[in-house]
Amino acid sequence: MQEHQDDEGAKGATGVDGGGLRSTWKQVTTRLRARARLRRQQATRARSQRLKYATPEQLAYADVLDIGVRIGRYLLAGTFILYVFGFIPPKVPLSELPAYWSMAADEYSNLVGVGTGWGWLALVGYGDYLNFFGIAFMCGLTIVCYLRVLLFSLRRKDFMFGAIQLLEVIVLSVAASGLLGGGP
Amino acid sequence: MRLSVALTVLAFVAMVLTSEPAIAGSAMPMASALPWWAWVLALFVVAFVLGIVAVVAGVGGGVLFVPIVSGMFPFHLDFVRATGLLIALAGALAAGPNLLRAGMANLQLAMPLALIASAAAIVGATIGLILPDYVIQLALSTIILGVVGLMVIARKSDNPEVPKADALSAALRMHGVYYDPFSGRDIEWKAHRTPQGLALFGLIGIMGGMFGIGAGWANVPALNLVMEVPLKVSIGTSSIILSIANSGAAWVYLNHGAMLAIIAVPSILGMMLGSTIGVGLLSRVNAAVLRKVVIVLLLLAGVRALLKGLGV
Repeated sequence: MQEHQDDEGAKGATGVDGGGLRSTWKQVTTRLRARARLRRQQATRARSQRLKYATPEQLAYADVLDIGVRIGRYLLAGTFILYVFGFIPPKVPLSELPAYWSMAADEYSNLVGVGTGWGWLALVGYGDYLNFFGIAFMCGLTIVCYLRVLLFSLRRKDFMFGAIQLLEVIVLSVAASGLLGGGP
Repeated sequence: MRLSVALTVLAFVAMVLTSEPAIAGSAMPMASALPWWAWVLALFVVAFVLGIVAVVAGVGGGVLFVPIVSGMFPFHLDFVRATGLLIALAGALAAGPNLLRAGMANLQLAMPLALIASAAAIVGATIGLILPDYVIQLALSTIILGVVGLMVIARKSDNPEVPKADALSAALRMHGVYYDPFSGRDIEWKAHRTPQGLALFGLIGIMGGMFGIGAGWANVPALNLVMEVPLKVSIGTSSIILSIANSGAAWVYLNHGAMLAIIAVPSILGMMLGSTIGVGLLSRVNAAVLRKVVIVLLLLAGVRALLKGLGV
């Protein structure tokens, strides 16, 4: 019923009857509001349908992941364009890369003077290392998703899953810290 | 989505437009024969094709990428393995939201297994960066040939009957319900043999981290055949486990400086673009034939890795 009324509102707002700029603007905003309301209702319906097959924390995890992947994708493509177009000069010139990419990682790091761990962070001013920002973002996304569902577990006093989630955050954070061999 | 495709194409065009000849006296004989951009362009095309093939044949991108690219390109295996991990990670992360929302992946099932797999993958990645190249090549060839064997002999069980969940899977709430569009009904499922499953995921994590080949090829049989989770939920949950475990291993490679943006980014973008097109081709391509092609490709790549490892 509500949806029908919204449709009516959206349809009614489409006709511009010469009421001047103000009335046109009013009709446009009414139509946009009706559409937004409809979208919200559809989203709510879809979410309640999904809850049959997925828990609220699973949906929350999916939402955070969805937003993160979108940001990460643009970050990767955007920083790569800045790098290859030469908008930001690289640490290692593109033309010299064939001399380096057949070396072992340790050998390359020593030769270029990058170091291990988070040493690359000091070099994000260079085009090639700016790309690491997008890569690190993608690698760190899971930690953010876990922190989101950890809140659910703590709120529900689900200590078993809370402990599993906390342990996972610790494991991934230790890996991210660079303490394992490639420390800063 | 359209914007990301446009950015990918723009990045691809940028590579061609900004091309310069390679410097003289390059360390790599193969690299000196071609300018840098030709290798990167070829890498993008190969990743794009592998992205299509991986989706249609139902295998992970990493398992195809590492043996094929390490055999065809002059890049060091460290960079190829790190990129393989990133490809598998990017694909799994991108697929995650829809799988989780549709109930095709189960987070409660994934989390305990992913905890073991991610810790093991970090250990595997650390070991992989310490071991000599020839050992990695030999082990990689063994794994790839093992994957070929698994692809040939592994059976599948769409909706296995689990009479009784074991105590651990009941405690960890490893059960759920999913909608099967083919039968048009909701299917309830539960897992069992949880301790065996956890042990297997430890082993799979080490291999995935060490070789950067992702682990979907092993995750799915472990979930479906050992823990007897329905096939569709196994495939979806495998992707979530992969995204979690590979995150940990990828950090190890990143912190060791085993990443080159010029190798990693075109590969990820090419694979993502290829996967998008592959999904559209799913209904039009004979997946069974393509799967046989993939088996032959992997067999060749495995033999090539074996010969490289033996110094032949």
